[in-house]
Amino acid sequence: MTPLRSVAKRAMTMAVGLNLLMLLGLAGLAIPPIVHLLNRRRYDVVHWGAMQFLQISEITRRKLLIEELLLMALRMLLIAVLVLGLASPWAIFSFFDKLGTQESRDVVIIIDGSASMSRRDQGSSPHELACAWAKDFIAKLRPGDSVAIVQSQQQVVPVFPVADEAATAVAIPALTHKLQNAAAALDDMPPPRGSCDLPLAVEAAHQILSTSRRPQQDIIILTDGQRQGLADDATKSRWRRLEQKLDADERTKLFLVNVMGEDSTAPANWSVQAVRAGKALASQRVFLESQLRIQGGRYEPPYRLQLEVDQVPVATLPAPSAADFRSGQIPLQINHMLTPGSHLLSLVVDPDPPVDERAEGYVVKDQVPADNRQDLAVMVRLLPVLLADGGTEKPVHHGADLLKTALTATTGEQDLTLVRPRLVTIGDFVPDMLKKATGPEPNTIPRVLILCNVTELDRSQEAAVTEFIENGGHVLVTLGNRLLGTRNYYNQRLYRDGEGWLPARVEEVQGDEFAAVSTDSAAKDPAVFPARANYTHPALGMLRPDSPADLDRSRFPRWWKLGDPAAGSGAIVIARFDNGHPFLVERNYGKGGVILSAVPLDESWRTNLHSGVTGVLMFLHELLYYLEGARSSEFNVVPGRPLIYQPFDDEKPGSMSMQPPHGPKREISADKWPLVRFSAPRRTARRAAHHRLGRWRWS
Amino acid sequence: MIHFDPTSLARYGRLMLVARNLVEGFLTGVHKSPYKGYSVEFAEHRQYYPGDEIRHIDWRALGKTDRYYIKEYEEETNLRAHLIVDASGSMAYTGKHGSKFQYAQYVAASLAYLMLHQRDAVGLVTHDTKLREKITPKASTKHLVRVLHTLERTEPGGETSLATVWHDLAGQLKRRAMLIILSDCFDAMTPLLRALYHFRHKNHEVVLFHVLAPEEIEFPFRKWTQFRNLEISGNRLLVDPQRLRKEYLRNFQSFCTELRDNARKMQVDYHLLRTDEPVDRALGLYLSRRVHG
Repeated sequence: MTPLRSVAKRAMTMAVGLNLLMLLGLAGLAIPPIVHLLNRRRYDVVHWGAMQFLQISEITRRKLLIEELLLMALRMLLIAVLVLGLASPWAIFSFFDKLGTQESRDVVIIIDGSASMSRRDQGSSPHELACAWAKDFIAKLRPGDSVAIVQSQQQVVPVFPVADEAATAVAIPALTHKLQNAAAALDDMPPPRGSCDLPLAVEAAHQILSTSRRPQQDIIILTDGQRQGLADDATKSRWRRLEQKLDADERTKLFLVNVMGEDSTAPANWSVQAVRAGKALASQRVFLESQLRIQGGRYEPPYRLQLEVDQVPVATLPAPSAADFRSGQIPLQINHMLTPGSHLLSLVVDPDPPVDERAEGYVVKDQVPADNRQDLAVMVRLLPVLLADGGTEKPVHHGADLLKTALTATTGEQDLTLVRPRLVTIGDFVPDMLKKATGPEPNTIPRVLILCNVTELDRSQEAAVTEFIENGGHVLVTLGNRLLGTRNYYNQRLYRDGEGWLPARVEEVQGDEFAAVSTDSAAKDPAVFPARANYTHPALGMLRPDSPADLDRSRFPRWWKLGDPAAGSGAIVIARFDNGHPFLVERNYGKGGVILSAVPLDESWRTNLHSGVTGVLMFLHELLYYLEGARSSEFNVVPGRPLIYQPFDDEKPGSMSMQPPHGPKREISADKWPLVRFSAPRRTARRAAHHRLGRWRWS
Repeated sequence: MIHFDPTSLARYGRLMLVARNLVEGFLTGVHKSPYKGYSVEFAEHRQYYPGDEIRHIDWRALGKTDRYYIKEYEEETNLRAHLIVDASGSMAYTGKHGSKFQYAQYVAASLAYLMLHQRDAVGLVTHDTKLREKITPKASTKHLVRVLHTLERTEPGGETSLATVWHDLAGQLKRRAMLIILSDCFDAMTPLLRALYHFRHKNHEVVLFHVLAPEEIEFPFRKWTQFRNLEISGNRLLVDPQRLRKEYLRNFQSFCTELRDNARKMQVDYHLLRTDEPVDRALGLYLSRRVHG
């Protein structure tokens, strides 16, 4: 084994450690005397006649006293032993070293789960060698040693101890000294696939060991020594960052075992990288992105590059151009029309022709075919939305109709939008509309309501909207000129000092849409613009600093000043203007949620939103799909891999739900982030499918 | 009179009813009294009715009057019984089955009822460290009310000094009598035996009912317990009964065995009465003694 980092030398020849909680446990030693004293204070009273027979001899009295003291001492001793056992004290004495004794150790074994571990060009695959090595290592451990095994793929896959499939939320495995099932767990480990993230696995291993107090803690990586995921440039920089963290922990040693021994030349390998879909599936045309990675050779067009939908080949894709081959990778961009529903998309590359078609002397381009396929489950579903415009003009003009147009826009004539909008004026909006389909297709009862610059709601409308939100509906409220006389209605009926569903108080209108704009480029524009920031909110990726979108050029000469969300209401400001005032405020209410916009999002108040900003369509789609509950495909996992949910900004742990494609929704209780869960236990379901992770309330 | 006056029943009736129920129930079971009387004195004649015993027909009267007459006698008994009830504090111990003194009350009341029913003379002595009440034996039915009344208003309390009281009592009882002692006998063994011997020396027939509660015999206590002396105020002992049990039982059984063996040696009729046993067991023991003794 090769130590990856030096172990700090211990200057002392003797060291002692223990769990500090032991000091608390030692307080338990007081229990027997306290019980004794309490017994002497809490006793039964018997009015007794035969007192003469209770008069015991002095010898007996002494005997009883001694017995009592011995019994108490024994009880205290038992407690002390128990506390010491729980505290796992350890000690290092040079004297013991001379005697040849060994301390118990805690070991986390990381098995490289990348596809190259499946290569068979040299007999047994590295994966099989790693499993055999791990089994042999575990067999030689001494009683009291503890082990955990994880597999490093794109995520960290727990292997041993085996997770309880009935558990609602499963975190990383804990160390265990019950090793009898370790071999079976290794045999049942998912096959190598895709790439690996060894630094991530080492971090997880370090976290596992953080629960241990033993002085000897080892992390052992079993790998085939391939550069990708271990020593490529990106991974090297992560190792450097991780090194500082590990160096601070003197007890942990990190070992790397190359199961291929000296013969660890990189095999020629083609692989398809993870497939990603556009975040907002606004139409039935799905855009997919991936990379073709070629290692140990030069690029030649592959024999076949194919797209499968639901495991049926649907298209043979043209071979990428050699001109795009850079740094061992070629980008792949595919689009394909899908019908509404859950689909499994697969991108498959065959670099080499079948064996019987190969010419004599053919040089195989890919020796690791296990990573030639990537799957992605997507849900294409209709998005019914009801838009209520605050005006009385019919048809609606220059108001919510713009939003409707934006939401139904597609990229081409053949693309079919998934949005099923229904536009009404607020005067025509009746509560029943929230319970009836927006069109002739099934499953088009509105899931999103947009109140666009609405003066106020009458009582029946207000009650219907409240019920809609409480039952899981989502509402986007945009504020405009029609609120100038009804601001108090919003505050008193809908906000109610944080008790209502409106996320924030509507304070006062700011700016002047007719103010002259200075021609001096140095002069500050009095209008406000959306500010870029490091948002993690899924609908606001366009406002991140690195986004090429031009949404930050949206000019709003007039806007409503919103108050800070009430403490305890769970409302949060998810986007701000460049002057720091809230642009979008969100809160959850009941099972649904509301986003409040400080501007009307139409073209009133002389904004350039619909005339000068190209990103507006995507922004509105992002908002709509976020409200509807659609999330990006970044959670696509293969069966057996854990599903990790990363929270939004300020999102608090709470009740989540998992909706499988078939069967009832299951609730998951999350008490800390990230939520780690096995979406499909690999023993029971190996079929890829679209699971929907939802949130009930996270406020 | 007692039976129909609610006030009287409240004051005297309880023991009367208990005693009557116990004794009549018991006699129903045995059908006849074994007691026939020792001497009789003629009282009057009455007309013969079928069923009367032939031997009681006055044949002389038949000869003179040509009618059948039955001779009725006023039975006179030479049995004088003293019920000696220990009313010391230790008798107040109340276990799961009631107090020892209450049990002794029932036994004494039942015996008094039974004896008076059979025309024996019954007296009552209650005592703790000294004599409290002393009722001279009489065979009158009215006498029963007095005995029961006295029994009922007696409350246990005070220290025990059985030997002293019994010695005094032995000196006071001039005529030979049957002494029925109801006591837990919690006193020093030697003086206690001497007092019993004193009774026997005076030719009294002694029946000793050793009244004990099952808790005293078995000592079933588990939790830490403070035993408070019923006889000496302030005398308390806090112990873990489980660890003291062995020693206690050894002391207690040794005491009982010594008392029983010595009582038998001096021909004192010793019987252990547990308060969880039916009271009529004492009646059976008494009658058995009367038949065979």
